Amino acid sequence: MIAELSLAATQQGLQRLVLEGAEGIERWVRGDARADAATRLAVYARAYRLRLLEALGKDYPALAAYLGAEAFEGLGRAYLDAHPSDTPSLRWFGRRLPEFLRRAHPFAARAELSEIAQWEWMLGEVFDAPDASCVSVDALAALPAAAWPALRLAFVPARRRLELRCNAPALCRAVQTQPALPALAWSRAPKPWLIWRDAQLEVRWRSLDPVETIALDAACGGACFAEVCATLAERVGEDAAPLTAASLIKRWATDGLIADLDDEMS
Amino acid sequence: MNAGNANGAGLGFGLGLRPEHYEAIFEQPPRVDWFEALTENYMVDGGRPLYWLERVRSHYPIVFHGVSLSIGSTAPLDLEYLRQLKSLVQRFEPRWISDHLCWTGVAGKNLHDLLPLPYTEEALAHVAARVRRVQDFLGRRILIENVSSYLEYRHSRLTEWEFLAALCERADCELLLDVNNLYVNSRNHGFDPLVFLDAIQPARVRQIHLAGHSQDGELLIDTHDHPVCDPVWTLYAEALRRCGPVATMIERDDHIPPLAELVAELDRARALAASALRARAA
Repeated sequence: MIAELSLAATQQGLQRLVLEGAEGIERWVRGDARADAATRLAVYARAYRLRLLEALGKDYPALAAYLGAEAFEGLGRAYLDAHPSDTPSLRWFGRRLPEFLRRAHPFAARAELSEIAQWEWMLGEVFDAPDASCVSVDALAALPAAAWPALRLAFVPARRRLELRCNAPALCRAVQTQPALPALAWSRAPKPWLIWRDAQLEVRWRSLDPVETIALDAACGGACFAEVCATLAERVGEDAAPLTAASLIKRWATDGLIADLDDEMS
Repeated sequence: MNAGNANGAGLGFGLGLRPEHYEAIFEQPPRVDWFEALTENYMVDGGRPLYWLERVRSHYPIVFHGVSLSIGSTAPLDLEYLRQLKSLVQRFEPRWISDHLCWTGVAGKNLHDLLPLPYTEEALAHVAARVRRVQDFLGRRILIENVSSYLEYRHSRLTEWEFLAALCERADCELLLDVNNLYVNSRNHGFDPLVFLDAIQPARVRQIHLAGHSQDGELLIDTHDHPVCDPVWTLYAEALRRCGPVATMIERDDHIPPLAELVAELDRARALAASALRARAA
């Protein structure tokens, strides 16, 4: 029978052993004095878990540090069983972890796990998101006054907006810079954050105050300057809105967030 | 088909391009003639990986080395992967493209490992047809690398070297000879590596990999986390004695040392190659 074993059957059998620990294929493999068949097969099963857990650890270093090695390995194994890799590059293996943590028992009971994972995954997304040129502050300053009311901004694609309740950013930063992690802390209301990649290809982030949140979400949603001002007016008053919006736009340009200007005049 | 220069010998001595070394490469240009980029690491939309690859490419020849072609899988060829590969090739113009004689998964899964094939006539016909399809798609020959393995199937009817030699003929592809993998397999499966070297056609060998390995019980594991060991250096000289000058590089994927340390190891390859080739000419 073994002599007739097809390539497809061979691959299905070895894959089942690696993914599920299925037995019964030892007789397909030569054993000798160096190592018997089971030992040889075990090399592949062990290497698979180690390799994918290592990839997950690289994508989620703060989560790994927060949980500790043993708990992170347990999480990794549960995730690996739920979501075996289905892409050619390991780069994308961990993409479902934030959602997995939000839903899967027992992890869902600890809301910070999903928030930390979401934060770390977005840092990675921004790291190698598509490139875009950045509009300079000088280019903004050169716009004629008449162009401003209809001005719309195109933002760089390497940018993510999210809301967090825990101090995931501080935990993530501490993993890179400090020997110990700060304690977990919660804010009463979700806090808005922005992650982006600047013109020097550095991944940066900051929390947003309520005024900037309103303006940024409106501008990212396609609102023109006049519409952003109208939205802001409810918060800062009609008189202050144009100056507030203009200074925010200048800040976004300084940050490298604006990829293009559509002023309907150019 | 793009035949290229015989054996790629003109490229000289290279290193695997690793992010840990990006900045060091431009602080002081190292004695490195070319770099091998891991293809999948650059199948991203933008940011630092592609910035650095552009920068390295503007100063050095590069070659592409993939791990996910899964040329031996019975799953259909991943056309999206091939399209991404072709797009990278068009952008960066590598001197050549290589991947491994292995399969990485079936049924929509990817195990991210270089899994061994049974060396049967069925597998040979399957792999040869797929190599031809990939080469047609890319419009150029590819290099296929011998992998380290920890098992042999009882239903194999050919040796690894017979399979590789036949594959090169049937698919008209080239070889990336990994001397460390050859040594690891000779130890794990108990064969004479010189028999392997005698069986492959020298003209097909376009590139050589050198690397280190580790030991797990009685088996050698291809971990790329150590310097090249003495028996692999000896085998490298034997390979050059048969093949003549071949573009050679050192792979290190774990415990990555400073660039200067790898350059020193590459110097050893240069010296050993010079001596082996002198002896060959004499």
